[in-house]
Amino acid sequence: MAELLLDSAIRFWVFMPIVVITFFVGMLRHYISIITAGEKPVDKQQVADSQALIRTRILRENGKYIPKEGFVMRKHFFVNEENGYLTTQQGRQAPIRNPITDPTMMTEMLKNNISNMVPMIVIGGVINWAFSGFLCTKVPFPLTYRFKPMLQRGVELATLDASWLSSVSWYAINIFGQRGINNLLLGENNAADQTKMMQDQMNMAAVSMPQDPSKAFKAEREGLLVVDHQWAFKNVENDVMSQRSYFRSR
Amino acid sequence: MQSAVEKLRTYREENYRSYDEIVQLWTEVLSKRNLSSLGDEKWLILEQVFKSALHSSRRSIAYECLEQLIKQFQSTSRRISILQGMYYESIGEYNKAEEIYSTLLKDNETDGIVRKRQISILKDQNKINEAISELTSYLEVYQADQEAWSELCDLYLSEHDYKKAAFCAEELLLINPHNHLNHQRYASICYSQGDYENARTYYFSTIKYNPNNIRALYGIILTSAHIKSTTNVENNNIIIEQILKKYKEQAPDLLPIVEKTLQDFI
Repeated sequence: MAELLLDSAIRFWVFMPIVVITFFVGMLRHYISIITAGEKPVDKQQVADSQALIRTRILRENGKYIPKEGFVMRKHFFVNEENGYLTTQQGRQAPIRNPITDPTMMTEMLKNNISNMVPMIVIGGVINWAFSGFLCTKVPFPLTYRFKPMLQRGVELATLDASWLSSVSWYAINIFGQRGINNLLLGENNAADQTKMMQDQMNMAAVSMPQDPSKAFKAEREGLLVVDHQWAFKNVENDVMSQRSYFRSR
Repeated sequence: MQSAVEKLRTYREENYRSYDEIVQLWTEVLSKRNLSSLGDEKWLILEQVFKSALHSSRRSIAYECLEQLIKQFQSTSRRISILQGMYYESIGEYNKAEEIYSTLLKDNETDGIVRKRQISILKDQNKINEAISELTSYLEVYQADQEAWSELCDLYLSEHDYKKAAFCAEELLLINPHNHLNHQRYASICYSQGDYENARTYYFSTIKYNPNNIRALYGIILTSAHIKSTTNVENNNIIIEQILKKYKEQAPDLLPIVEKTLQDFI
């Protein structure tokens, strides 16, 4: 492929400005989200549920450190047929948080979408309008023909190597690439990071707990039913006396 | 002044408990300087000094810090209101503190910190039974809160309700099974109940996790005095040797007293 030489003006006036724009817009979005983030009212029931699940989990994991009576007592409390905590709570139908009908979730989703998608689209459009018609940069590795329509908007040259990029694709690469820098500067979980949000949308997983408590409780109950109590300290006296080197008679 | 600020920062981040030192740093170094050069850290330092002053009963210093914080943040801030409540608790104005806490709770029902402060008010006024019932209802929601279980264990011990204290100690063991202090606590409670077998087992598990725990070593000797069995005797002698060795290393002046006492057990 012919060696193309780009005007060095492109380097100063297109390449770097796009990097700078993406970065600062990301920062701006992060700080705006911090300012406008309302305090999420924590649902008491949710807290109780999550704490109960923590307690059943530690009972399962660490039950062998307490005496048998203690373990059996707690297991009974949780899984008893008639009035065990998990059995009664399992039957409770959590209110289904349908995203469309529930107003609070709707506004939150809307706010998220607006604050994330709109700037990206707007700035993408501006860049497309301002910096169209020429090549911006080249990726250092060869790409296949399939990438051309995606990466070379505005530059319709059938014979052009697919490695050459237009400004818009450079902008897109920046958005995903600067996640690392944003994490370093703004800490994890920053609002400028869009890839996580996109993944969430793709998975459409239900919001953390609401629909799940009955399922989670059911799983925990079954887990607890299976666990047997193996007291870790059955022979601890012999273990300790034989293992500790300085306990051996000098 | 910089070194003082850095020291305070380390204390904050690592949760040190050197209250007197913090207050001393404040009185000697920081209160005389203008702290606005520190920016936002100034408020964190003020809060830290406030809490340490309350711990060391230096009320005037606490009041100064509180005044400065209120001037900056007004009483509408939640965090400031909690600090105000703590100050009222320390001077004995429990009603005012209770008012503040109930208003805060009305805004946010799930605030654990405010509920715990309410319980500490009850404890201050020596209303142990009510404190226990409030704490149990708190624990019905927050089942995995280690601090709360520990506090409940202490409250039950002060009421000599060993059975329930043992339950709380078991909870702590579940949450943190490798902490030797939890084992020691549980063993001591079992011993007080008269459950010498269990106590002996858990004293041994304490040693398993921390061989330097003298209380556990003593505990083993004491429990074996109650459980007459042959296998214990040799183990006892080894343990007694161990105790004497530790005293020799660390507190040699006490060695003769200890030796005399342990003679009965050999």
